[in-house]
Amino acid sequence: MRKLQKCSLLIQSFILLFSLSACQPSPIPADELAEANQLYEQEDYPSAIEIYQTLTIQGVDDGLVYYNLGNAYYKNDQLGQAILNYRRAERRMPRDADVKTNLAVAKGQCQDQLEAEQSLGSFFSAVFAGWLSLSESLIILLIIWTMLCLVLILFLLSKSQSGILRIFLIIISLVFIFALTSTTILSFERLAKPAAIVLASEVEVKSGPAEDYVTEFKLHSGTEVQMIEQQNGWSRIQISGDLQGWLPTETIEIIFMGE
Amino acid sequence: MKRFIKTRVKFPKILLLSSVIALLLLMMTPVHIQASLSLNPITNTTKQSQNRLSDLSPAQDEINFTAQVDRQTVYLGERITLTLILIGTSKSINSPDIRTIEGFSVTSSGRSSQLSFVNGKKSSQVIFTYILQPTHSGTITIPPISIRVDGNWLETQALEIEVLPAVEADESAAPSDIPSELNEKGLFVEAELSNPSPYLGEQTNYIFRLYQAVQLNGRPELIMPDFVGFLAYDLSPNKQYNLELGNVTYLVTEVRKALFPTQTGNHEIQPSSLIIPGDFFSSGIELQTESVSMDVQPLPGDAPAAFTGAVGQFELQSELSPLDINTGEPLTYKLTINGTGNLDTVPDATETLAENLSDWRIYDSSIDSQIQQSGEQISGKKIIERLLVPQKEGTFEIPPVELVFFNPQSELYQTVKTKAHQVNVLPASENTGAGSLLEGNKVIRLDSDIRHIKPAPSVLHQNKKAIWQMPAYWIAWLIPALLLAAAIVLRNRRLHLSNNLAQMRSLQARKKAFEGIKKARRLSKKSEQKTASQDEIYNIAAQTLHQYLADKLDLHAASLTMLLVRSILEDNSANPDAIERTLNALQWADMGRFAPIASGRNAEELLDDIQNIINDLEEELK
Repeated sequence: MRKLQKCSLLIQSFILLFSLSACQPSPIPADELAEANQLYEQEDYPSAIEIYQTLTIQGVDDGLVYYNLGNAYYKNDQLGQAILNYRRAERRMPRDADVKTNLAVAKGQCQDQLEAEQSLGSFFSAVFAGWLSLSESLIILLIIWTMLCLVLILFLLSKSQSGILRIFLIIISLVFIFALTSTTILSFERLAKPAAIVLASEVEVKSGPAEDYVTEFKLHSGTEVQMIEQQNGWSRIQISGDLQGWLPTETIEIIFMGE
Repeated sequence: MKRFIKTRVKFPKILLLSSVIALLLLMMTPVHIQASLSLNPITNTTKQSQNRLSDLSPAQDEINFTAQVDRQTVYLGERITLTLILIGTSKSINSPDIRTIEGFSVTSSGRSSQLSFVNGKKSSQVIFTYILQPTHSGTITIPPISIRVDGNWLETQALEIEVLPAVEADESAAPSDIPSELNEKGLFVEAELSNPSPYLGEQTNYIFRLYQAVQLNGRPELIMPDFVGFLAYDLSPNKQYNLELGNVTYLVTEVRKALFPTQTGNHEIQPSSLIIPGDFFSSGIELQTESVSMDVQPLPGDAPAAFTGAVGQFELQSELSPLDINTGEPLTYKLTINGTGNLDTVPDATETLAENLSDWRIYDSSIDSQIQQSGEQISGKKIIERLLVPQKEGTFEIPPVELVFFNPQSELYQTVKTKAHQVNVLPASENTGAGSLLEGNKVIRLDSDIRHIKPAPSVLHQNKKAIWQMPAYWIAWLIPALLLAAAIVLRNRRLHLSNNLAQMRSLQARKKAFEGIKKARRLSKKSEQKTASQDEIYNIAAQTLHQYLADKLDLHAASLTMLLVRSILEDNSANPDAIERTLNALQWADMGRFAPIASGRNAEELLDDIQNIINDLEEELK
């Protein structure tokens, strides 16, 4: 038993260390952001956009900057860019109501109104993406895994394998399986088919990766697509349902390059 | 032992059960006791109350003396009935003093009394009836009338009667030809129409009258004809009044029906009959009226195009709410049609709204009709409600709604209109969406915009690696897994050991032996001078070595002999040198035990030797 306590102490200290290293803030002074906000207030949206953009290029990774950038694009009538940046802000601040509201307003003004896709992946996206970021769900999964292991160890080493411990073990196993499945599906969805936003005001979607193929349909700025593959400056994309086609890669932008 | 414990466990259960039962019994018994105790007082009180009841004289009971008249407005020449009701007693009643009544000629019409027992209580009622005929017109007051009951004087309230000058019309309404035979019996009926030549749809009243100068036995039954070609409504209540014809005063009962003709032309209304049941002495009588005829006139031909058959006199009123609304939300248009005439023929005037408001969604109307009777006229209210849903924003005018009807009084077609309404339709609110039919007060969203930017915080987060790009994250996954693996190994080892005692003995043999050597060393240090304790040291050393070998070879320590040790060690293919040393040590220890002085060697040396042997054997006997 004393051995077990030692073990759990070790794990706890490790988690603490790990979370400290994960959360360590690298402060960047927010003076430039304040300046951009001021330009926004003065309705000088292009200048504000420029500063916000510079900040993101400089390596600022804050949902707030993307949110303000989205607002500036929206006010500057660049719907596609606005939605792109709201989506980026959403991934960083998944529980922020302002981001959600503005994203909904902007999406409501898209010319292409797509029906929500009904797949297992989209179900988990709906459940988790609106609530947890991928990083958060990975941390939660790790915590559940650690708990599962601890309970299993207790179960294996205890002389009387009590019923309560057994029930607890079953529950935590089920929770773990669910969390593992959903996180896997979610991350697969994001990694295999990265989401992108159409930035061009109108783009023809061709049946193949060249200009001389048949135009199958047209998309307009702000529409969210899933990129399947890339080839010679053309991207194969998919939108809800079975609609697929090729469009020039420069007309769209992937929301998360890192994923 | 186990069984005994079981019974001990059961015992408290039985104890618990029995204690619960006992508790219940305890709780119930006081109730019984109380009930039996309280029986006597209850009977006592009943007796007392009975006594008190019989003590009460009727005079102390509530005695009520009231006056009633059948109507308070009367024409000169007609009669009214004054009823004086005395409730509460039946003995020693004098007739009321009616000499105080002035302005009427008073005739007594009798006295009746009723006695009833309700719940063992006696109640009585004495009714005095008088016929009063006013002697002059104007307002005449019947003063309070007093009566003497058991020596006490009781008074009624005063009543005011309005006497109107005599009207000729009433006399003319009376039938001119009274069938002589019936008249002799003091009983006849007649039927009459208030308007024998109405317009189509105009109200006409059918009036049945029973004239009676005698009391009727039982309850007469009236059978009215089927009013074919009419819509008929009862006009209630039945009227009753006194009428003097010739020298006889009749009690007249009027039963009326409102008729709305639905067909033009001549209609013959069949006679009504009244069946008066007979009694023991006489057979029943059936009285029949004459049949009456009605000539229904068609409506004048100059009807406007919008006329759909409404006859009567109507007013229109419209209400619209709310006047400011979001696109897609409903407005309620309420049209109230009020007036006299047959409301069933009044059309749904809001139907024209659908034609005039092409951009609106208009729902089916709900119609609520309330038919009333005002005097002799059928009137009522028809409330038509429609939901109107604007589909576009802007300012709209809801056009007036009109109703065309024929007014039989003026014999003209008339048109009534509601006013027009202005509606301000705002853009659709975001939350409700188009087509929602929610009502109630809510915040109206005039316009929508994105939410404002967020203020700059003191510091911003810098780009950092995603969590799945950090090795630490994946190492963190490994740690619990490794711990789990260690736990599994530990558990398996434990299981294995507990299943294999021999191996456990073998594994723990060296540990045990070293403990023995340690003990021997402690002893030798303690007693360096005393020879006696040297025995003990050798003894322990020998035992330790024996026990070690027994543990290692899975044998009993007592059964070990030199020969056996040699053969088993050889079987285990141990080093011959090690075997030799082991046997020497065993011999030495035995010698030390039995001839310590002869040995000439130090016990400490022996212990070192044994320790070395054990270490070597541990390697050999794996």
